[in-house]
Amino acid sequence: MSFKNIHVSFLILLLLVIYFSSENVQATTEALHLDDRKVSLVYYGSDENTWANVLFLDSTLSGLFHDVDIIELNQMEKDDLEETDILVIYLPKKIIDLEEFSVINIFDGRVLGIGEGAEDLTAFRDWTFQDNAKIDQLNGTHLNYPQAAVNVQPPDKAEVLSEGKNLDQTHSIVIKEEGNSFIGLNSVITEVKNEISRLMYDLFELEEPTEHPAYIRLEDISPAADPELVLASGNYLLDRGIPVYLAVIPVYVDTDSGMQITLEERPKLLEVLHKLVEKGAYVIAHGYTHSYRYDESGEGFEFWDAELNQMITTIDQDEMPEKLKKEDEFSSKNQFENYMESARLIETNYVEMKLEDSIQLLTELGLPPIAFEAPHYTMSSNGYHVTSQYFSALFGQIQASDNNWQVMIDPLFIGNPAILQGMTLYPETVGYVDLQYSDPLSVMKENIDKVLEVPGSVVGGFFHPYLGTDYLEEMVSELESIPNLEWIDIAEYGHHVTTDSIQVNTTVNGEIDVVKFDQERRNWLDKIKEKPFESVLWGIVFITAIFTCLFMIHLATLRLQYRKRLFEERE
Amino acid sequence: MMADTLFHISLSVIWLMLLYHMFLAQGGYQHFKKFEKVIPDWQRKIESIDLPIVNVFIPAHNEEVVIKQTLTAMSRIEYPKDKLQVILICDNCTDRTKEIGEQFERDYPFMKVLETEGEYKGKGKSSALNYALKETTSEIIAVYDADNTPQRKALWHLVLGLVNDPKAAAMVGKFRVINAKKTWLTKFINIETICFQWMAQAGRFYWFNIATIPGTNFAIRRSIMEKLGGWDTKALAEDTELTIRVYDLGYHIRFFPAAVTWEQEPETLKVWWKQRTRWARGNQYVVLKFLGRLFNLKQKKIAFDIFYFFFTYFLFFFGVILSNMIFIANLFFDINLNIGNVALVLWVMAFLLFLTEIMITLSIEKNQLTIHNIFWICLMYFTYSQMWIVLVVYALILETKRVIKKEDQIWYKTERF
Repeated sequence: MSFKNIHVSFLILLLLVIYFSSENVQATTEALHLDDRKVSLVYYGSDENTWANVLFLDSTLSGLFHDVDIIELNQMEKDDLEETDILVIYLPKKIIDLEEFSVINIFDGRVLGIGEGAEDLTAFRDWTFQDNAKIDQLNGTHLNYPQAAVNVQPPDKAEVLSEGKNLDQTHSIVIKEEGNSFIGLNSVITEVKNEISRLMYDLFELEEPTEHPAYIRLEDISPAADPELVLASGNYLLDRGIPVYLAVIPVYVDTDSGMQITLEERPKLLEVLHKLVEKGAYVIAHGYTHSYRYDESGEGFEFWDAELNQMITTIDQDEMPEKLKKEDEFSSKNQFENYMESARLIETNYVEMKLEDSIQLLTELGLPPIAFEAPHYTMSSNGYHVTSQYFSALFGQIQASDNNWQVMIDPLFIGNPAILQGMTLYPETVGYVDLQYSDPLSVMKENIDKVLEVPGSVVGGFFHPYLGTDYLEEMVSELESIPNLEWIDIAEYGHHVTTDSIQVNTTVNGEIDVVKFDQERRNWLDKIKEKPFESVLWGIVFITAIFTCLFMIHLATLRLQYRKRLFEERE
Repeated sequence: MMADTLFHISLSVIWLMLLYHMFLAQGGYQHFKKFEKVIPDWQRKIESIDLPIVNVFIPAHNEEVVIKQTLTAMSRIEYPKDKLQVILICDNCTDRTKEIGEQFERDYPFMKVLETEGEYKGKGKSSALNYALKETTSEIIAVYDADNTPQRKALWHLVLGLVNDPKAAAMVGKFRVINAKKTWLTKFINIETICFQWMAQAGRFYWFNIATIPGTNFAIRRSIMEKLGGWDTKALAEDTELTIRVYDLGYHIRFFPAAVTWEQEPETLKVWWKQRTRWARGNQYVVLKFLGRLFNLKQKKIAFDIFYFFFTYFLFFFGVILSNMIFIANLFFDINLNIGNVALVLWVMAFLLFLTEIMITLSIEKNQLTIHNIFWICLMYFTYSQMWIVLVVYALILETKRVIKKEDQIWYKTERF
């Protein structure tokens, strides 16, 4: 055994340790063709509606630009805009001392102001603003709910991209003048969101994509699902070359008995799922049980307490938790924050437990998930944060409030909004086949028409396999009639799912690659991370032990050759 | 927290050093396995050429106790006498050294006594050597201390190496302790020198082609000495200094243990203390001298070597002292040291490593790996090695004082027995 070999082995060992301690793989956004200019989204206000608008704008912008920053006006630092190319300012209300925020007023790049507060920006000082107006039509489309608008007299050279109407009065709503643009609406998440999303290309002079990315999820596949129908739906899509996304709930909870049935106990369904996965279907972890407390799987919420309309506050599901206290019930802000912090800790544990169980079970059953979809799309911002540590892809829509699950935003582009903490959103935009209506596809068709107005928008919908393939055929033919539809193959975007014991990756050729860490090695790595110095010391002990053994061998060799050497020397 | 950090620092420093020594020990063993293999080939080559003329320099300052023995050994040295001149350099001798030398001068025509004069006189070893350098012309210069008894073949092997290794500026032989069995101290020194040569010298030469000129039993090309402008008279450790400058010229120094000399080592603690203080101070001087120009050195590996010296004479001892202090503090106060069993295991490993490393080097030499010596090695870890710590600190204090007061180096000549 030569010494140099040992030396090399040590080096390899060391490199391996280093490699495994840094095993985070980032999801690539290369497939998105985003613009490289840096966007800063500045806003003011802390109410629910403002925040939802900010999240929507961020989601939309992050589907168009690589680098989007969100900054609260009061938190702004002097150099925040130093690298910024485009400044988007959302001010739904007037701010008295806006001129004092010099950073935004001296910014000399492209500015987009949104909302009546933006009137007072230096960029628009030559514009004329009058009393507020209301519109019930935007760019020829009738609005179900009339909406407040800013009554602006744009300068002569300006280009009006979108007009609103109220009775016979016309108002300029989206206006572009050289570097500065203005959107005269205080909320952009309502019916107007399609029009606003569409105009982003014009406002920022972006090239309009010709394709519409699209997907169909086969929804709510729990142990209670009918294997035949799942197989039929899956096969139908696969045969047409449409990527299949199976939103799987691995455990079914029966409301009456409280019994839990896992997929493992449904071998036929499992076999069907295996078949589909083998043929290339992707699995989306749709929660673990799709329920909190004793709701029935597929019906209940899992990551939101829908009954109290608050975040999850207890891990013990038998217990009916208290309603979360409000800030005014505490004597100090600090106390309230501590209280919320401990509540969030429970939520964190709960989400971690559920996600780990789900990923673990699905992977063990041979159905490694590659993305996540929250039941009813509900989850707090902390929930998203926790989820982002496990998943890099999210399907559905975004809950935009930590106090009310009904504040939901549904952006139209694939993007990485800040609230998702690095996860990529594959938005659901067109809904599902709904038997409530005489034409179960009517709503979906309307939605598709609206979404298609926006270049590059995602056409994302879902289908419940129990409805039978006839409806699926109808849905597919509807979608396939869309010109330039491009089915999303999630593997092309590169995603991963990571827990302490499992790593699922998409590979370049569209396969799913699963690495399981055995627990012992995991513990070992954890120890290294926990006490790095001590681990190094143990490493030294190990190396030294090997060398001491090597030296003993040398010693033995020398002793064996001792007589021979003496003899030679005498010669 | 504080204690933890300090402990981490000290452990890191100590183990960096120990691991490096472990690596050197392995190299030393490999060098032992390898160095002799070239000899038959070299012999054939040297027989076909004209042998170079060699001067042996023996700097001496009041060496009447040992000089006779040394010169006797020199008279028996195997090298064609028409190509050899042994020069006893008497530097400011007030005893019978010169007289004894002249006796040999009369009996052996290849021996000669030189007496330092003028500015060279009474300034120490470097200065004496420089004087002899000026007074002679031979192609190769070998240097032996006045207390040395080289084996008959020693010089031959040094020249053999130089003739066959054109990139070597100097050839360094091995020295052994002649009075090893005399006192407890010489027993330790004996183990120490064997260990030093097979680990530091052979090990470094094997891995990096670096060896240090030891001050005795080496041969160097005159051309190199002239290029370097002689020995640095300011350096207490003139050998280390010379080594660095040789490497900077682009040459290397070969450790060739086939050339053996026996030398006398201090038998009493007092003499040992003085001699070693001089070495430590000398090396500290050299390290500081070159540390500043570390990056100007042409040969990067020698920079690494200087850094190693820096580690040896500064950081390592700092680490050991720190660790000792923490240990003591821990006995008396609860300093919240947050380190597990690994520290204990490491301590045992350090001892085992020490033991096996030294045992390997001892077993290379004849009759050295004895039960008796193994006992002394164990003892050494807790005594002799610890003495070094105190010594290095003492030397550091002296050096610091000297630098502050801007004094010149004062040469201390090792007392003979």
